[in-house]
Amino acid sequence: MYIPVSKLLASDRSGAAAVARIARQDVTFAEFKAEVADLRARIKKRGVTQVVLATESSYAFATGMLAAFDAGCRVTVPPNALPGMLARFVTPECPLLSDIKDEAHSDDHILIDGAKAAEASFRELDPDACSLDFYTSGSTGEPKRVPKSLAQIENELTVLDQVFGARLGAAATLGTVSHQHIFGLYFKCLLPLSEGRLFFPETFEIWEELLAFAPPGACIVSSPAHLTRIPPLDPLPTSAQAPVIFTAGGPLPFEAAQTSAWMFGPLPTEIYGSTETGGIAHRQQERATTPFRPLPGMETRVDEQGSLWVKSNYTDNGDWDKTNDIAELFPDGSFLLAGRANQFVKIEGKRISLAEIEKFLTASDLVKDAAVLVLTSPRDTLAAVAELTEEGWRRHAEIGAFRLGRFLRKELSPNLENAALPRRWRFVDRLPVNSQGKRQQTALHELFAGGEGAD
Amino acid sequence: MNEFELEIKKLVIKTLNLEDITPEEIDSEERLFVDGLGLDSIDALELGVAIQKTYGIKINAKNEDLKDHFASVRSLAQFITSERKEMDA
Repeated sequence: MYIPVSKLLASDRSGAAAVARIARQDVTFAEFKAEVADLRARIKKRGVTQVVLATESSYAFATGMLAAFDAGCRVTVPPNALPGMLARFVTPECPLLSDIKDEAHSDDHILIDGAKAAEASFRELDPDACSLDFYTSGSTGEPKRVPKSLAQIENELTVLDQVFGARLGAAATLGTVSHQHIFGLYFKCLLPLSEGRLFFPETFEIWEELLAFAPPGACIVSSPAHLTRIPPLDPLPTSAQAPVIFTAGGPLPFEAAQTSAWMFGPLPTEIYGSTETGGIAHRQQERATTPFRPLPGMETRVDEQGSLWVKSNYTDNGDWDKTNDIAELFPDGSFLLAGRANQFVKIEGKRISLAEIEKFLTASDLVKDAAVLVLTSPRDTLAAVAELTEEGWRRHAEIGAFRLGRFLRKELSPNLENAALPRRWRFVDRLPVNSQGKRQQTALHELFAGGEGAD
Repeated sequence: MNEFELEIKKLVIKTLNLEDITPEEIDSEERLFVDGLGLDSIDALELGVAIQKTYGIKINAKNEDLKDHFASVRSLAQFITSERKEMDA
């Protein structure tokens, strides 16, 4: 039965109900409450009003979020738990709440360790007084804050329950996406938690592992990065097929949709949305031209430039928001996506700011200047052109171009997620610029011409 | 160089579109992921798919040693060889 997040801990849900499966053991609702209560007490003891919540386990995230809310804390949700990202947010006044042991913040760290309080009593939370601050790539290369009140989050979860609840039934949920992003948090963690369905705390990296853990008839929460890379496994038997496969983050190729259906049962349900607007629309790609249908409560329109605008129940102002996408709109409000409209790019379903990558790259001792671009064939790939320093060229001579590129990826990795690490590299004496000093995109792209897929 | 290891190095380079590197420059014992060759989790997914398609073997996730099998070209060669033997048996 669906219970809104704010009412969950004070509800009469059975203490024996399973919440999550951790290392093949089911954690019950009573144990979940005892863990939240213990964590709540430890947060209160700190006397802080805000925390940074970054966890490996989706279950730990759920306990941390509810404990922080109940302790009266505002919760910052960084897009990942990389050291460079945490360093931006964690202070003595805003400690890190995490299940990851972190030396760098050991004094400012409240460890989510599964400790249980003897007594766990709860009142309902005020959904307007609780909030999560998400962060997405900003246009300046700095992460941009996107606040969400628990009331907004619940509104959205309620709609998702109405639209998908019947198909989901009692299905357990496993995912290949992180709960530090809004899609993963809703579909892999908070929706199952609200609906009383079992969820798995892992973010599975390989399909074989996910399928080894999956009970028959489990819901899969994934992304184009994984659904375009399904190994040649045997299809799931009819009795074990997934009731729903959710995917988001970027366009799912038609072929990948068909392969997924052949392998797991249903055509993937693609959720189109953003951190700012929440889920906007959904579709199952029966044909490549199947349009996205808006979720209940969402309105859509396009402007003269073709940019898609949405009016959402889940945003602060309840006003029209411009998306980063170009769309073809049909009279009934459904639409097809036709490309990105601004300087952000999507790689492996992650919104990435090229300016941010360039900023971190030029911070390297080996790099004087850098340009990052997206190559579109055979799939969208990040490429970097770097002007090297003297030291950079010395390393280039020593270890070669391939290993230098890999070395620079490693230098970037404390600050950028895998998807934001350039995969192709060119090293040049001077970045191509025109007479106004602007970078020449064509010349940059030409540096990568011809090398594609060479045997 | 061991012929089969060379074949796998070529497969790694081709599958992942690695540039500016020849099979000879990959050491059979160097680590494929993170350190060494510096491959990432997306590379692991693609390499897993390519190996299963090329050699017709099934990778069983319950195999606890999966990470060790994918550690280097040498361990991968040994893993594929033993899986194929098992299938032929």
